[in-house]
Amino acid sequence: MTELQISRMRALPPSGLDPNRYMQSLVQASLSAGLISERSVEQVQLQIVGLLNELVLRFTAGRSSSVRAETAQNILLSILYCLDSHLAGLGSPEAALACLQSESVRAMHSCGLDQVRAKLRAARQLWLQVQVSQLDIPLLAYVDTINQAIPEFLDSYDPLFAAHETMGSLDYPLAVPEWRQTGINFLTTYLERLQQENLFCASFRLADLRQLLQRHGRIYRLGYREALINIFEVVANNAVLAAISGGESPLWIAPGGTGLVATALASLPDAAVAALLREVAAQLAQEMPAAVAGYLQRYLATEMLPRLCGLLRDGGIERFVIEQE
Amino acid sequence: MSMRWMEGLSLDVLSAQSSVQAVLETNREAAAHGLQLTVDDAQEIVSARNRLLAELGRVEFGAESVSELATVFSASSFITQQDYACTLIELLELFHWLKNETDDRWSDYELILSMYRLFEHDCAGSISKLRDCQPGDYARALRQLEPRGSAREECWRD
Repeated sequence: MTELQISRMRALPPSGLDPNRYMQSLVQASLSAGLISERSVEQVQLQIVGLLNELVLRFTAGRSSSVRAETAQNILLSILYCLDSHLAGLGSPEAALACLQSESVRAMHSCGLDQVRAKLRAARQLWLQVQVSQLDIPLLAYVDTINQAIPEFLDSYDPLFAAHETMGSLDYPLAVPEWRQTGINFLTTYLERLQQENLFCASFRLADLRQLLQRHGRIYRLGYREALINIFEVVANNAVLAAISGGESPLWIAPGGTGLVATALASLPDAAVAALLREVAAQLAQEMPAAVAGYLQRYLATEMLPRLCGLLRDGGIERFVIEQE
Repeated sequence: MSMRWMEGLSLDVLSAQSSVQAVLETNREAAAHGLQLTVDDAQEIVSARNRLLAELGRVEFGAESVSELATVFSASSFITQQDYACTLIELLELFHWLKNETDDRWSDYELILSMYRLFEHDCAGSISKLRDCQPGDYARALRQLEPRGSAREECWRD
């Protein structure tokens, strides 16, 4: 490799490639840096179209030479999803570019398809873990998502013709939602996060969790069983503020305690509130697995902190936490 | 998921390169029935096919539908050299429309053979009469081709 090529290679953003459109962002970045020619890209495109042709024929079992445009587009998206999976899994943009230039699209797709199938198997294992950690809480969206929607997704997911599709509807909202991923990557992330949420909540007494959700339902005047709420979010908000209030209960704030906490936090700059939340979260998750602690910290930083700071400024924190009756 | 980097590549253009040649290859069979397509005819057919596919929201690789239609219909006792190319275009239009109408549940050959049977026997070589045929007519024509019967008629009822 020449020095020019090496310096150009450095122009590839190490982590700046979009993991959800990896091949596209790799090609665009490589074209911009002069690391790949237009002609090479055209060759890759032609190979993709050739593979699409083959898969369309397989899709129709050779019975039809044409398909609806949306069918062809879906199969194309599925091919690109598998290619993304393979290239992104190589560890670096340089390795991915080298692969793109040396391997055939068919070979890359075959590897990617194997990876997607392996992810599907791993997701099934993850779902079993979530089943085991499932909280005994009769929240419909939670129960239906774990017991119906996820197994339906796993059963109907098609790595060859629809790898990019996110099957069914996972109605239960996560505390840290995932918006960008699709297909099996989305389900894997969903299950991983749901598992962290279950494990965190399981560290509290089940009776307290149920009572907390019932109180939450009463405050918002909706039956909590039918509500589209996230259990972890309600629990984490209360647990963190309960710890800040210095009370004895790990989950409840004493009656009238919310105002005191709000007054104390409102006097602090946002950065100090953030530091305090981090510290409290570290204490709360002290004896929990690292992944749970990491998820809690992530929730506090990306979801709870912005909302809490807004409520401290604008008022309304009493709707954020639930005091003991 | 965006396919922006794939957009420069038209599937129609790609397939058109080899489609004209594939259409011309049907001349070998058609010659036995006194029919021939010129290069201009083949180009016109492929252009019409691409336009039809775009209008009907379909994608085809190669020119299988044209080749199969030409192979079957060149044996028609009603098609003459003068109207051969035009008739093929009209048949193509009907064929792809029917593919959509049947939700792709009929294979290409099932549809083409039932079209041919109706064209030859019920419609006396009239494309307009063929267009007026009802779903049940196609199913009946197919049953006559497949004496043991099939569930094809069901798809027209859905």
